[in-house]
Amino acid sequence: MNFLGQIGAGVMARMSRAARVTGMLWGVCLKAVRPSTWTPPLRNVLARQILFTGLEATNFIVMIALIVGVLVVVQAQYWLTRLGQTALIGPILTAVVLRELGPLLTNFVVIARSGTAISTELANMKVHGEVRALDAMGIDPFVYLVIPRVLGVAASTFCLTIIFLGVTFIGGYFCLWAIMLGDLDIGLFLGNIIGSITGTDVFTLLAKSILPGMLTGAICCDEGLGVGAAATEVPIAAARGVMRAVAALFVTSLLISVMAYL
Amino acid sequence: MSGETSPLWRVQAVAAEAGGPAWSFAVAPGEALWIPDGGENLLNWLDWLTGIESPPCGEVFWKGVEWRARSADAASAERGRMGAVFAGGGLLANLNMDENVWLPARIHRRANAAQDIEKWARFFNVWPLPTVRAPAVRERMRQKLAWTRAFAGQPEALVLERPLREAAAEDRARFLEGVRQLRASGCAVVWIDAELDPATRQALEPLIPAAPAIG
Repeated sequence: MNFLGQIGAGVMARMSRAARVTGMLWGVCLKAVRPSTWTPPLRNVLARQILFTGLEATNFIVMIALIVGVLVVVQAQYWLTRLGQTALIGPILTAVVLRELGPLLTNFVVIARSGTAISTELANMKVHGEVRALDAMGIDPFVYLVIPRVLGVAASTFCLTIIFLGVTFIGGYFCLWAIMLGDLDIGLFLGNIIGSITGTDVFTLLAKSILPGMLTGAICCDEGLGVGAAATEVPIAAARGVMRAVAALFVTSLLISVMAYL
Repeated sequence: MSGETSPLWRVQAVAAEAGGPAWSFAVAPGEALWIPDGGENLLNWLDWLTGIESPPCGEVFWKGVEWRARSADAASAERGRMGAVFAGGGLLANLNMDENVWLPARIHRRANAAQDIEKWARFFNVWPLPTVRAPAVRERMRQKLAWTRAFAGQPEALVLERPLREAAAEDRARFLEGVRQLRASGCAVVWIDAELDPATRQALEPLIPAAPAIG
């Protein structure tokens, strides 16, 4: 195959994967709104996914958010105080943390923890014939395995992003207070931030936490269920799932930012 | 082959490759059919009979309709009326054994599932169902729990993929008695295994051995 042919084949393969994941997301949305889909075992899988992706990651997210709060809020306040522009703290933090950093870092944590876990778990299930057994018992693997994972990851990512933002802002404020850099009332500080949040920011926050969360779930399910019969394919699927999910995160974040700023 | 009752399965010229040995047979309610295959000839009989995979050649009809002609939801609903024992066990490692046995009943919202599961679990001597995960249960227990899951729910048909491999003698007898009881209630049975020992053959009588047509 010549050079151009190789490029074309690569583009076609990526387009095909993107189309498959888009189809999965569409299928999830269509089936998730049917009440008959939500059998007790499916609700159980969803609850376990939220427990693992959301609840069990909360401590880690809080720790990361505190560090980010210290780094970003203190820096912003320090430099704005020196420039005499402390009134800009709200818009700047909204733009940096709420629009970009919060959703991005939360998604990173979710991909690192849950993306690999989903790919590995589903790939192992496929290799050990569990997916085949589900199918043969009349249990649609897409409904039983994919839907609760995609929705669970998306819901967890959104909730973790909200926790991240809250901890970042409050943690940043208390750090400022501790080192006495700014003579700032917490009500004024938070009011400044909340006052600068626009409808576009809310859209951005929702889109950048839910959409990449759903993509992470779908991509990692796709990779996990795409393995053959060899156990050696499991770690490959996990690594590929993470790489594709990170790429999807950046692309969707970029597209949403472009949409928000246009 | 299937008498006056219309067959549940009708298999027409199924082969692993074009020009290879082709299998044709029918199985009616209450009948038992043996497919002498040990899984080494690329014959995914369980997958083909349950419609989760289409054979490379030929057609498999379930209740008169070819599997490919059904929608995904309709096919899943039909498969939900079958029981299956898998050569690899087919138990989900991330569920405990109680959840594993209950899974098909809960997904398909079967009525009277509790009594039926308890009946078969007691029959195979695994009651109460363990609440530990599948990998923590001994192989013999796992096998009997997989049988319980397949037999519960009054299945219309059973697909048994090498079900007695490494089974203890007393468990074999119990399993064969369970198969006899299900057949008496009208359940069709397909047994997939390379060989059947004389005791098993005798217990399954009348047994229809399937054989491929060469060429």
